[in-house]
Amino acid sequence: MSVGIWTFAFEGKEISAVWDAAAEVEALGFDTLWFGEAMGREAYTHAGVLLASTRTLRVATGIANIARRDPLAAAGAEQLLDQAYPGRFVHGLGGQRVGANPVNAVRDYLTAMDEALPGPRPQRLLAALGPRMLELSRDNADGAHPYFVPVEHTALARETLGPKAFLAVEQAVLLSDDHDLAREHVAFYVKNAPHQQINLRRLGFTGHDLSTVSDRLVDAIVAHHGDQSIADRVQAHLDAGADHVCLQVITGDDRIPLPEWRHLATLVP
Amino acid sequence: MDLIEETRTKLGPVGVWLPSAPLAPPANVELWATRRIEELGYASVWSGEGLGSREAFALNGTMLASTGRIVLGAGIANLWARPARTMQGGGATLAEAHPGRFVLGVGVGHFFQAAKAGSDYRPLDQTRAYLSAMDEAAAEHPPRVVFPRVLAAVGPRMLELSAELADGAHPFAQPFEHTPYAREILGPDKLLIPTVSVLLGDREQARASHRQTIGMMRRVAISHYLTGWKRLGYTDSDIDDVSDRLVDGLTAWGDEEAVVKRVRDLLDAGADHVLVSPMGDSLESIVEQLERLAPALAEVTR
Repeated sequence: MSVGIWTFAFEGKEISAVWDAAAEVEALGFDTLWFGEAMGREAYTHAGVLLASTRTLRVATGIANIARRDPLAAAGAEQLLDQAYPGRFVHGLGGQRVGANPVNAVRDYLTAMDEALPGPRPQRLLAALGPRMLELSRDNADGAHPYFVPVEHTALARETLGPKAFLAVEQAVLLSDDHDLAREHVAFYVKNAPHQQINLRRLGFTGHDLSTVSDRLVDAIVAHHGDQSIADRVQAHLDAGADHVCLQVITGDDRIPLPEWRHLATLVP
Repeated sequence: MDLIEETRTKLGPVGVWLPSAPLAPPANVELWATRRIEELGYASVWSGEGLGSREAFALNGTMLASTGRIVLGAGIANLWARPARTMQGGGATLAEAHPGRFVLGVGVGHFFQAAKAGSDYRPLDQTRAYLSAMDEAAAEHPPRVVFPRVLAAVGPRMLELSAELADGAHPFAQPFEHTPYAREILGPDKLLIPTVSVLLGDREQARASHRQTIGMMRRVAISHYLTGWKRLGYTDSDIDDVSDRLVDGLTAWGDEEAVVKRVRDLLDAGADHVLVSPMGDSLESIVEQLERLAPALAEVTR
């Protein structure tokens, strides 16, 4: 079972706190640490910082947005990190908000990277939800990293990806009893991320589910009914075809959720 | 102490510029070279990004994490490699992780790099807009640790822009006379961090190397380095013939003493921190020259 941690919480934190947290994620036995690129730290620089402060942990960009770098720079960065930290850098790439045709934009970007620097490179996973981006993940990358998805999506993704491509699924979890936090998390993406709305509709959620942020929708996206629900959800993704599940703890604040990560380590090996 | 003065003190008189972008060594070789240069007592190591072989932030982050004291300089991070916000985020992340150990050189690169990024090439306007956009990003997300920013500058207007919107200038591939010229335009307070080609060898070896570089610059139609030379009084025939005058202007060649003298002259002419760049076709041969030069350069003071 391959389980990791996914977080936005490093943004804006003292770097020493980030180092300590990364080292603890490693010590807790998670195999991969994913972080989002928001507006503060630069993704490859941040990845380098996390790789340098750990020894065996895999560090994954979740994701590096192609709008933020020229493909030649991305190619140089992934090659350097792969050489300096062999096998430990996972290059998550995505094309949200890059124009009308993200699939073409990501395809062109990957092609430009390969033309710039052929040769060994780290694992590349694409932020993918819909069938065409999943096909691109299969054909032009090493797999996919769906974010904000129910288990049904994992089964569909595996079908499209075929048996070989790597499937790393982000799963939101809530450890407290404050179930409103789970609803707020879902509502945020439903409201702000059109591509997530499209994906949810494709999976059969109705306009009513989306507009009311229904219980059914919240339960499908967030595992929030106790320890067993979290362990079961991880297993369900793995059974549906995921190779790796990375857990994002919802806390309702922006602290680094170390106590929750420690607890999760007791639930999932 | 302000950031510029702090940086000047930290850097001291002598650092190193490595042509590792064109040489494209594997990471472990570059790491070995960087550690060795630190061990030898040099205060900084700088290298360019090119565009298509390496990425400045992943590279400098890795080198910083694997060394203890030496300052790393991006000389330069190419403006066409990323939008201004990403550049600002990269600098801020490195400064935060390694306070006082990173200097960001920003450069507008060449017209063919702009073309590859789908843009026209208006160096002054685009650099001005880019630095301003970096400042806007910094205002929105104030860095925990501020970092010095210098600008790749050869001509008078880019030097003026270095004084106006950056902490100084990082001129590349310019002859000796450029340093007093640049200092005059920058004014007394800003950082001036030039590179100087160094060769423990004779003039003919230096000439051969420059002939190759000039041929390359002409082939890819990079004009601003050559324009810079002409502005300082070198003629077309100096360049065509790779004249003694041009070789001597561009290179600190000879024995250790001759190299040290040239570095001293540059410091006296207004440089804050001179980046010696031994000519060589491998990092190994470059590091070997740096080993030979280290004892004499350690005696240089500003």
